[in-house]
Amino acid sequence: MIRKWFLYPESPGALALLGGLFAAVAVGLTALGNPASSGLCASCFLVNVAGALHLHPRATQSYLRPELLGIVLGAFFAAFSSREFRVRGGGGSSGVLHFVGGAFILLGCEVFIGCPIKALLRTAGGGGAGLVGLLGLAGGVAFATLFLRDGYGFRPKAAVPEAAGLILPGAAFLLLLAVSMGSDLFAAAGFGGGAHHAPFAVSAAAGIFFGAAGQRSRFCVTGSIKSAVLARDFREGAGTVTFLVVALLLNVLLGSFLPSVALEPGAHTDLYWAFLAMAMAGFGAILIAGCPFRQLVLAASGDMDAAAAVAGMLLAASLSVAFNIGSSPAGVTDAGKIAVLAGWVFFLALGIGCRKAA
Amino acid sequence: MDFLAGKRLAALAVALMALAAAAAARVAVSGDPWTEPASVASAVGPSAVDHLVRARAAERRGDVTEALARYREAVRSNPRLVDRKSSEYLGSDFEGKLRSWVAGLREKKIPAGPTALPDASYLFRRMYGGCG
Repeated sequence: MIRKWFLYPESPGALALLGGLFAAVAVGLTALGNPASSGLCASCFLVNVAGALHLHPRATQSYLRPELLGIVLGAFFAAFSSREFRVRGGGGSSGVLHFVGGAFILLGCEVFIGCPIKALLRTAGGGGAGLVGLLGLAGGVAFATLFLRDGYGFRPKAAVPEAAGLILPGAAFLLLLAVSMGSDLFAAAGFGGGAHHAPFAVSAAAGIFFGAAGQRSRFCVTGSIKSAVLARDFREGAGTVTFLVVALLLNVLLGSFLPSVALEPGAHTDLYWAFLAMAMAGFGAILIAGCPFRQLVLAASGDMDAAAAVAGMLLAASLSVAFNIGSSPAGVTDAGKIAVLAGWVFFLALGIGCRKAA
Repeated sequence: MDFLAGKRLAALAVALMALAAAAAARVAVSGDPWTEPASVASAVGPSAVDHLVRARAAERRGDVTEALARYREAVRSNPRLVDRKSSEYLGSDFEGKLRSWVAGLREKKIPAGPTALPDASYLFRRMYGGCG
């Protein structure tokens, strides 16, 4: 019974328990050294990893986050051990569309400053802009369900050679091995966000937990909102809501709960753009089947479209820094605004163009 | 929401695309989108050290508004000033002062101009966050 609960978590209780554990580990990582509200943030981690791999020059945002590598490895092992590791892809232009879609979702997250999971963590810390971003995310997901109801979808995925699915987990393993052996090939921040991190082993272990539990529970903030809006299925939502509640309670207990817009750590106060950026990210995440965290988990489970989205996100992470697209506490840049609007144009065109392809 | 389907949904999407494209073009022509205004200011204006000197002078005069404006510019030029991991960190004394300024300004116990609280809030957000 307990084994089934953990290996095949489908009931609201099991998903809620996992959501609570996710939150506890994420808040714990922040307490151990990660930046504020960044115990688990796929987009921040991708920007840090891009910097560590010398894909962008900003040293303050460079650190080979073991959490991210752990997520990939954890999801791979969970999928492999449960015989859900199936290498498949949509074929045709599907990979390219996922690549560009992944890039725009990442840029939306960078304008907001955080992925959907960080939006939960920021809200749980009392951040007003975090809450506005979360509302934008929900609005974007709800808007995307109109397209799903209208026949939106890609062609069914077909099997592709298994070796292709091993590239991402293999790369994550080699990078983790290289860092744990003390390799100095990678850029690392001496100060700034990249310099703030929990101990390496703890971060790696937490990442493996996030990946494995995320693969088994299908944890996805945007997916849970979609299921609630589209199918009135609130099981996944139980995990998301429990994540928010547990993170909020822990923040109150640790004294890191500060309800404010102007004083939210690391955030900006352009609420309109926080809403619009996360609405774009939520809209796009539904059209390409997952938020940044979910794309990492799917890619590690053999989904080649998700792997293309992860590659797009990594490229966007470097472009975000190179072209000043990412926001800072000073506010949203013009380049960030253009990226959000371009993302809307891309996803609306995708929404119209793929309506009859299902 | 069944009325928003088929051709109506396509028409709405096309209208939103046009609106987003027009807004993006407007942002692009109204400024230099690839350069952060703050970095332009710091490249041609006084250095972080100059700002710090003026901030401390204003602080001694009791001009909280001017002091916070100068601290803000100093931190914009050199974010290391509010990073505990940096050797240039302004120190826990400054952190304590900043917290008391924020509290005093929010409760309107410190007489100051309208820019003081936004400047103090910016310094607070920088000091305690984030990934950037």
